[in-house]
Amino acid sequence: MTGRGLRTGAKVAAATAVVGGLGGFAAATWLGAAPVGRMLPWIVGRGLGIAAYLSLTALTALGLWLRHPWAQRWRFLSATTRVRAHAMLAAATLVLVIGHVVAIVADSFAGVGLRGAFVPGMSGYRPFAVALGTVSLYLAVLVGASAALAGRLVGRAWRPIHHIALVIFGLSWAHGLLAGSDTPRLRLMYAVTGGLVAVLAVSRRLVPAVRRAPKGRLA
Amino acid sequence: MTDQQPMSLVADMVKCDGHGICAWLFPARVELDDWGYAWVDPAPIELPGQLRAARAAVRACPRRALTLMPMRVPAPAPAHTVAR
Repeated sequence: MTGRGLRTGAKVAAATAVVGGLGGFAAATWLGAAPVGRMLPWIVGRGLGIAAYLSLTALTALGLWLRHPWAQRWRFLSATTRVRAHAMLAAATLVLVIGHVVAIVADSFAGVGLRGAFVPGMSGYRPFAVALGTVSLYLAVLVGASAALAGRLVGRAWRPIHHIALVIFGLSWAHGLLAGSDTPRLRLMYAVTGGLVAVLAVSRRLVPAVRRAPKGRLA
Repeated sequence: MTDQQPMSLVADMVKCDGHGICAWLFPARVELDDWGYAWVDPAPIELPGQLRAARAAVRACPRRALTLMPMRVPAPAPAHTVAR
């Protein structure tokens, strides 16, 4: 990634984190219907978690769309813009996840704590569900780092590692569903977003690709 | 080949599968067309930073569709050549 790309990515990630945090906060209070007050850190943590999940959904869906056969029929952005947006969403998701983890760890009532957040199974609050999030975080770091270092430290190994992205989405989906879906609206959100990614992932495999010669390239 | 020789990025369009990592790593010279395939500017790459980015794009391509090769400089016409 170039220095200019990094700076732009940092700006977009910071803006997304602010907007996502506020949006997630609003979503958490509306969807979760929890009273705001002494539960503020918990609400902020949940809001950032929801924002991170939605950002991850957009990231995964756009990643699947990059080489999806349907993308050849319905083009809503140029291919170059889609690749850049995919990378920006990855940076934004990372920022939101860091905010989510910091807020949850900082909340003494949450029962997660530092060890619970980083060592799978050590959380006092729903250890299995939190462990799913921890494992997905580690895998996300692996996938993100390999993509960021593509062509330098990891060569073309970023590509097979990138296939883990669907596992990360699955783990995050289960983490959100088991750790934070306490209202029908949230369960509906997980059903819709999970269904969207599942349809894109399956159809990308099953729909035959229409391989066309690039314009003006062949005689 | 010397380091001073201008290099150019070449894409093998048969191998290219539209992963797009090249356009992310070397946006100064690689764009993607409507189908997501690489569109490479064949102009000489002379700046060290651009050369590093070009090498990264070559190494990152999962289909090995990119090659960095010395530019073919046309030989000067012999002095006795008569234009027709």
